[in-house]
Amino acid sequence: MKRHSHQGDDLPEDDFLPGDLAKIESLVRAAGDYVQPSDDLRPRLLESARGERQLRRRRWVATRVCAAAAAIGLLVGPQIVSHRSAMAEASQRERIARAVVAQQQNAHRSGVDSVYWELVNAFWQVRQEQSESLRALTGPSNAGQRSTAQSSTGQGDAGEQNASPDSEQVSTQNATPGALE
Amino acid sequence: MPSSRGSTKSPHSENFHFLGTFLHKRAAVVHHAGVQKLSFEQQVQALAVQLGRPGVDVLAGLFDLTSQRLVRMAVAITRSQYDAEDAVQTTLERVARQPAPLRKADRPWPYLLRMVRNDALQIRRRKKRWLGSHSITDLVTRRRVDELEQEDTHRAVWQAIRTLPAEQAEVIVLKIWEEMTFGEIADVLDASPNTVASRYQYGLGKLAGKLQKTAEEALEEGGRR
Repeated sequence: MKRHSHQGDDLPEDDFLPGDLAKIESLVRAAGDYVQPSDDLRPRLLESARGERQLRRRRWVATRVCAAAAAIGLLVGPQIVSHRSAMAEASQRERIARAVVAQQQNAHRSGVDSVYWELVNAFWQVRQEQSESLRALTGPSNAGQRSTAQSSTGQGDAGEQNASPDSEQVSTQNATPGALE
Repeated sequence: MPSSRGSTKSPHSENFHFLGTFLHKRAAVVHHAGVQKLSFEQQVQALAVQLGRPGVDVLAGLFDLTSQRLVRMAVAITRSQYDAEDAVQTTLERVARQPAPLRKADRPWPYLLRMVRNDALQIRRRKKRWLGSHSITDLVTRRRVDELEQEDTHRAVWQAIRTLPAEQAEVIVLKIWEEMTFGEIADVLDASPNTVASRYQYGLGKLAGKLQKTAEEALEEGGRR
């Protein structure tokens, strides 16, 4: 088969591009710019591309935010857990402290904590009864002087318990010389 | 050059921003002037290299440069302006979304044509039953004042092209309007050069018959009037 070259191509020659076909080719070539894209294709395309770009950017940002949140969660999570356990321990101590305070308040309300003062009062009452019984033994005349001596010397307790009538007189004399006169 | 994206807001930051924008636009204008000196394929390649770079709106430039040719190719396959524009839009959206394949292509323009062809064929397969009409009323056409006399011829040519099988129509588009060799067309269509050549021959023969018929009809109508 014969071949002939057309714009660098090897083609079958079979009556390729005779005069009529060459004219047809030129007619077709002239009509090349006849069809155009519509006016709204450009804005439609650019708007669509822009929307898609924004969507991709949002997805990118969302992905980054999620990744950052996950990383922060991984980093901070264990610390939060340990902090919570520490807080739980602290609250346990706090509970114990509150229980103690409540117990003390209950004791105060019920008067249990005044036992010690009752014991002190009872002790002073016993001492007072002893002093009165001793006063009754020594007589009512010395009662005022004895009480004065007790309050001034502050050592009347031992003296009163072991006192004989003589010694008491001596002490009375030393304590209040003016009374003998 | 001061960055226009500075996070600190000094009193001069706005001035720097304006200066940055001005320089950027100036560089784009200079670049555009440089690009215009290149051939069509080189311009497409230059734009494809810049695809995906932040802050550079390459898609608009690519559309302005290629949309007419892409729509023309897609109309030849789908026979419908709307479907052709859908195919072109789908293709360019994909290019904007994933610019790497086009950027890495040795020859971006044939690659882009192949992408549009594939999308147009998909749309054509989906709407095959609606392809009966060969009217060209849906086509968006350009009417130059100095070409008004030839408008009937152009219309007849397009009407005839839309009656051809898609395999022959696309070969005619690529051969006559894209001025590709049969080898290049074969690369775009994944066919052998001989197959492409025979499709071209058959297609052109059919066009001749139809256009002759149209011319005769026009002559007859002229005679009746």
